[in-house]
This record gives sequence, structure tokens and C-alpha cells, in this order.
Amino acid sequence: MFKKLFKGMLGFSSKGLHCQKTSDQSQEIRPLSSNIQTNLQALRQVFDLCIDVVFREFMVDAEQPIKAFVVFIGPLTDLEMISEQLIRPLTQQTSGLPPGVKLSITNAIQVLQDYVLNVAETNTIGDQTELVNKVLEGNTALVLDGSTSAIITGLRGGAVRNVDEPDTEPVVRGPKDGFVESVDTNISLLRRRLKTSRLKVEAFKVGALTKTNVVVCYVKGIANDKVVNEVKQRISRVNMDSVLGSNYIEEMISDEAITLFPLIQYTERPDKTAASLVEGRVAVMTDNSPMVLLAPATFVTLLQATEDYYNNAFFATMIRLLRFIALNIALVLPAVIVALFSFHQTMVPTSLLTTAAAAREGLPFPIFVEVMLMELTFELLREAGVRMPKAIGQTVSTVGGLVIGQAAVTAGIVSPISVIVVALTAIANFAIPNYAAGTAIRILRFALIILAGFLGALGIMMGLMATLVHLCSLRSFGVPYLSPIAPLSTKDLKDTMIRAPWWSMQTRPRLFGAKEPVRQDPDQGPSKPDSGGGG
Amino acid sequence: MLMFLMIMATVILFVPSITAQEAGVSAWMVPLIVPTLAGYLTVWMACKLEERFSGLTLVQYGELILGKLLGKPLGCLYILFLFILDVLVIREFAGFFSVTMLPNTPILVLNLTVVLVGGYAALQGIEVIGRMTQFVLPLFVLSFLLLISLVLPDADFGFLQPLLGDGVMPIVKSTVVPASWYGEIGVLVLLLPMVNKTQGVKRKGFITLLAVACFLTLDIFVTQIVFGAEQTASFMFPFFELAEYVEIGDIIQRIESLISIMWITGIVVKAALFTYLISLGVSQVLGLKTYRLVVYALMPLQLILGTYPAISALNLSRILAQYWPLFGLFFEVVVPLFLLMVAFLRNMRLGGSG
Repeated sequence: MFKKLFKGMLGFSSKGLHCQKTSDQSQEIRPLSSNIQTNLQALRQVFDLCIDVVFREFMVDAEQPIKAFVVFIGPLTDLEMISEQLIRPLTQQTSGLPPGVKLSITNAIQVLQDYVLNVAETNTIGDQTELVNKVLEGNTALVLDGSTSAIITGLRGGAVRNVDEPDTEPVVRGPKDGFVESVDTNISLLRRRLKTSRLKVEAFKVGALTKTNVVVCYVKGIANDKVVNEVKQRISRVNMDSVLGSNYIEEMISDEAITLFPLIQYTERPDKTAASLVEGRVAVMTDNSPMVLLAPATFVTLLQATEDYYNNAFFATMIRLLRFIALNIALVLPAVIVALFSFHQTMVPTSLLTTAAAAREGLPFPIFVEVMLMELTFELLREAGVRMPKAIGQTVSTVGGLVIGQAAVTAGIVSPISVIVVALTAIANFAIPNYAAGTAIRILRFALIILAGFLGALGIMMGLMATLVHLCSLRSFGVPYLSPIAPLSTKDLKDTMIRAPWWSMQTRPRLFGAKEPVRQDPDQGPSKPDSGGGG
Repeated sequence: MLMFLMIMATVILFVPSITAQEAGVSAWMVPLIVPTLAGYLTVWMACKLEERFSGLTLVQYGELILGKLLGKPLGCLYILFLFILDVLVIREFAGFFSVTMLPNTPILVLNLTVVLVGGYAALQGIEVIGRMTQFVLPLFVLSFLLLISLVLPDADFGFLQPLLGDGVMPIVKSTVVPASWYGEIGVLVLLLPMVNKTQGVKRKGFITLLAVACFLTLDIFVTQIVFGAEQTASFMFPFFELAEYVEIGDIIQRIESLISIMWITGIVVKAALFTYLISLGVSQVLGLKTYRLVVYALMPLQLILGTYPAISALNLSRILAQYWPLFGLFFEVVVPLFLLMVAFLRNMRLGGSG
């Protein structure tokens, strides 16, 4: 009931949205004419007022020269390649045809592709709208007089960012390459890691204006077919005017409309993506976004960092425990402090209570207000720090850290305890590897502080229980969000709170990769070499 | 597991005191044998009924067995029983909190929290409730064991003497109380149709009962060796006092918050389960398509009745000790037994499996 209301508020109901939706004007099929002038004029009209579109007319070298033109978008193509590999052979080198093959208007398309063009990627199309789309993607179209089809050559170029170390997920020991905005580059990074034909890469076009390439990758035979189909189906259902980042797709294909928790994971790291694919998950790449989506996601995956797998297993386990503690601190610490000091003083050990009471003597606000105030201040600082131009960022940290923290205490507005609590909470929050999960925790933290302010420990517990109920009800592409803890799958616990050594992780997570559960041979654990000579 | 938590949640706090009143020093022997048998009888009946009418709940096959005229009222009565149980649970919860931790908060507010969260969980359905249990159970068991181990240094086995000093009768008499609690496993008659893997339910039910019995024995046992019988009987929540009692060095003290956490999680699961079952039952009696609507209606009712003043904390203890066992056992054991017998006599089965 509430859900419906909420959905209605967010505009989920489609009533009253019957206006014309955005589309690219030319959706109908318009076959190319055999008259080159007609085609040229039609295309010029389509690309009217687009200075980046280049039309280049020339004659194809033949006994009876054939009129032709190429059309491409200058900034999106490799100009040198077009002149060297496309135009030069057409205008000069047709004489090198084998005996018996003659170039004429009627067979030009075939002969040119077979003998003349040096371009790796060509295909023919006969539809003007499709031609326009191909050109917009950065292809070059070759239109010949007398043919009702055109040759599309893929001579794409233009500026793309170089493969770089991922900013959001740095590692100490591990590969340093990260995804970039170009989906082609990203696929190359992935394919380099998974040299198997079982890695399937399927493309979808989403967005009426952006026509963004959305690529679905999975390892056939490992990934659950149901999940793969579900992902594909949900992507093909998406109908937006624009897709400018992977979050557009994420929100459209997520399971639950209203939740704080990320039901799809994202990453900038190709190695992480490859590892997920091998586990039987599905990756969704969005062109023009370096963030690749990984589905299904579970709660524990949000606490795993790539680094875990490149470090000593015991160390990684310790770090994971630490992260789990950090999660708890970030979530409940301020709320617990509020509850303790405003309701349950009896629960605080006496010595601590006296210290705290002494520190809080003469302060104007109750601890609830104090903590809320400090938390808000911190959130402000953080937001300002993120949005500020880098050069001024220093100022913010100085002003925030020193002035507000230090001065507020000396001025007797807040107690040092709440400053410590807020600082600790903030640090703990940063220790959560997944940023989206961190934001969920941030919101919940405020809710819990308020609950603690009203109902003490009971409020916190009730808040946590409600969160637990919510988490239990979540599913990510059919996989329960809290798995493998609830429902319990003991084998999969090897990679949750602990990170077992690689030789002991013989099976894939049951819920992702049920089809081919065995990962590797058992008993590969390192053992001391047989000491033959006794020793 | 769900059952385990459900029963443990309330039993852990109240029963030690009640049994101690009756059975004195031998109280720790109470939960072992007789109640387990009673509980097992309930499980057995639930399974037998389920074998005959697979996929149906008690409310549904009650109608089949007794006919519409008698079946409907029986279903209603059973739901009413569950409802009273539910309200009592909520009231226990509020009573506990108003006595121990939040003396100034109105009971209405305390009830509100548990009703809201329980209702929310019930709306999400049985699967979610089950998963929730899976998540909290380890915490529950761990904190229980932790507490037990922490109080052991203060144990004095002298409190156990004289062994069977008053004879066997007081033990048998006080058995009824835990028996009715164990009988709560009887809600299986409503739950079973939703269990995926039906084979092994009987075994699992029995294991659950055994686990409950062990933990309860441990609970009473430890309470007794720390406080002695008389003191245990005088406390309202002996287990909570036990937790307050813990003080090791300056660091580990005030463990009772741990107990409160255990308690809250247990209660929420229990309230959620009951809310779900009642709503399901009501929707089946009335022939509604979805139980969710009933949950919404149920929530204010629980809230108001849970605040009903006659059930004060003191009265509650008495109700639980004196009246509830018979009342509860009637519905938990007698009703299913009756249904089973009638079904057996009329030789009714569903699904034509013979």
C-alpha cells in the first residue's frame, strides 16, 4: 500500500504520460536510390547544419569511371586511414584486378569489397536510415552510383582516454589497468583476460538520442541462463531518451524500485569483472562510462575488495573482519552513543561515564542534538570537498578539520566525545569498499540516530531489525541479497567474512554458477615436497 | 530453526522463574523429558495431518474434515488462540522493556515498535521471516553461550541440593508450563504447507525440540546454580538478572544489553511469524485472495490489545504460569489430535494417494 503510494509519488504510474516520447525523427525505412545525386542530396539534408559531417565526392577508377562519395564524421574517424586505405585504392589502384574481373557500375559493390578495399571491417546496407545511424557511430559510408546499397567501413578514430589506473578502486598489488569510457577498449581489456570463446559479448542499443552501446558479457555454461536472459530482457525493455552513465541502466534494470542498497555492483576494474564472470555473474558495459555493472550482487560482495585476492589469505581475512567492524561502526556507533548517554547511563561502565559526564559538563545541547549537529557538519564538509575545484579543496579540509572540530570543542559547543565519534564513523565509512553501499549506510545512520534519540537501544534494535527484514526481502536477479548467509550455503562462506586460500575454493558460489559448480581440481593445496632422502 | 528461535525467545526469560516456583531446587530437570514428548506429539500430529492433506493448512483441512459448519468456527477459534498468543508475546516484550530498560516510555510506544517491525516482516512473507531467522539465530545462540560461560565462575553447585528433595511430583506438575511452550511448535500445522522439502520435517522438528530442551535446561540450570532456587523464583526475569550479574574486571560488565538484543530479535521474529500466520488463517477462513490486507487490519488490533491494562507485568507472569498452559495445550495438542482422529475415522485423504 505504502509502496504504491510512494511509487505514484515518484511518477511510476504511467497515467497522463501519453504525450509523444522523444525519438530520432527518421525511424522509417527509406531504401537508397540507385541515383547517386538523389542519395547525396537526401543525406546532405539529413546532416544539414552538422559541420562535423564530411562528404567527399570522387570517381572510382574503372574503364568507365563510377561516381562515388564517402560520408563520415570527421572527429569520430581516422582521417589518415580513410584517405590511405579507402579513397586511394578506389581512385588509383583498380588496375590491379585479376584478369577476367571487370569493374563496372553493376558489380562495383562486390568487386570493390573482394579485390580493392584494404579495410578489415566492411559490410553493405541498403537503407538510408541505417546508413545515417552507422555514420553517427563513427563508421564511414561509401555510396556508389548505380547501386542501391552502400558499403560501411569501420575506420573509427577520435579521442578516447588512455587506459589508466582506476581512481576509485586502487590496489597495491595487482593489475593497474582500469576501464575507460570506450566500450571497445573495455571489451579488449576483458577479452585479454578471458581467452575463451565461451565469453559471450552481446550488444544492445539503448537511448533514442544517445543510442548507447550496452554490452552484456557472460561466460556461457557457467553463468545461469535464467539470469543472463533476465538481464538481456530487462535491458531490451529499457526505453529512455538518453543513457549517459551506467547508473541509468542500473536503475532501470534493478530488481527493487525502492531500496537504499545497491542491487547491482559496479566496478572500474577489468580483473574484478573477469573474476565475477568466472564466478558465473553477468557484466553489463555501458559505452561512455568506465563503470561496469555486475549482476547479481549480494550484500557480502559489497564488502569485498579486489585487493583481498592479491594478498595473503589470512591477511585478507583479517582485513575483511576489520571492514565488517567498520561497517558496524559506521552504521550504529553514533546511535549507540546517543542511546547510551541519553537513556541507558547504567550500561556505561562507571569510569567511562564519569569521564564523559565531566567532558559534557556545561554543554548547551543534549547529546542527540550534538551528534546530529556534528554528523551534519561532517556530511557538509564531505560534500563540499567532493564538489570543490581541486585547488580550493585544501581550504575546506583546513577549515573543516581545524576550525570546526577544534574550535567547537574549545568554545564549549560540543563535547570531544561526539567529535571523536563522528570522526571514527566517517573513517569507518570510508573503509567500506563499495561507494554505493557506503551511501546506504550513511542514510541509515541518520535514521538510527533519530530512532536512538527517541527510543534508545530499543529504537536502534528495531531499526536494525527493520533493515534486516528489508535486506532479507531483497533479491538481485533472483539471488537472495543476504546469501550465502541467509539462505545459508556453508560452502560459499569461504569467500564472505573470511577469504579462504585459492586452493581451497574449489567450487563456484552456488547461487551464481550452479551450472558448473567445480572451479578447479581439489587437493591442490601446497604441500611440502616429499623429502625422499629423509630429513 | 525458525521454531527454535521462536520458542526460545520467550521461554528463556520467563520459564526459569515459573518452574522454580513450583519445583524448587529440582527445576532444572523439568524441561527435559515430558515437555519434549508433548512437543514431539505435536510435531508428529502436524506431519500426519500434512501427509493426509498436503498443501493445506489446519484452517483449510479443518473445514474438510468437519465440514463447513464446524470447520469454520474451529478455524476461527484456532486463529483466536494464535491471536491471544501473539498479543501475549507483544505484551511480554513491552512488559520486559518497561520493567528493565525504559521505565518511562509508555507501553503503547513499545508495542508500536514491535508491531510495526513485525507487521513489516509479515508483509514480506514467510520466506523473508525464515531468512531473517537464519541470520539472527547464530547471533542468538552465540550470545546465549557467551553469557552462560561468563557467569560460570559465580556458580555454586551447592544450590542444587537436595537432589529431588521434594519428590518427583513438583517436577511433574511444573512440567506443564514448558510443555505448553514447546507446544508452540504446533503452529507447524499452519506452516507446513509452505515448507519446500517436506521430508525430514519430523526429524528436524524433533531436533529443534531437543535443542530447545537442552538450551532451556542449561538456562534454568545456570540460573539456579548462580542464584539458588528461592531467588530465581522471586525474580521476574531471572535470565536478565543473570546477565546483570556478570562483571568480570572493569571491562566486561553490563552484559544485559546483549540479552536485550537477543530478546528483541527473538520477539520480532516471533511477532512477525504470528502476525503472518494469523493473517494467513483469517484470509483462508474468509476466503480472501491475499493475506496482506489482514496484516494491516491486525496491526492496530495488536497494538491496542497489547496495551490492555489488565495484563500488567505481574499478572502476565501469573497468567503464563497458571492459566496459559492448559489453554495452550488444548489448542496445541488436543485440537490437532481431534482432527487427526476424525480424519482417521472418516478415512479422509487428499490427492488420492491411497
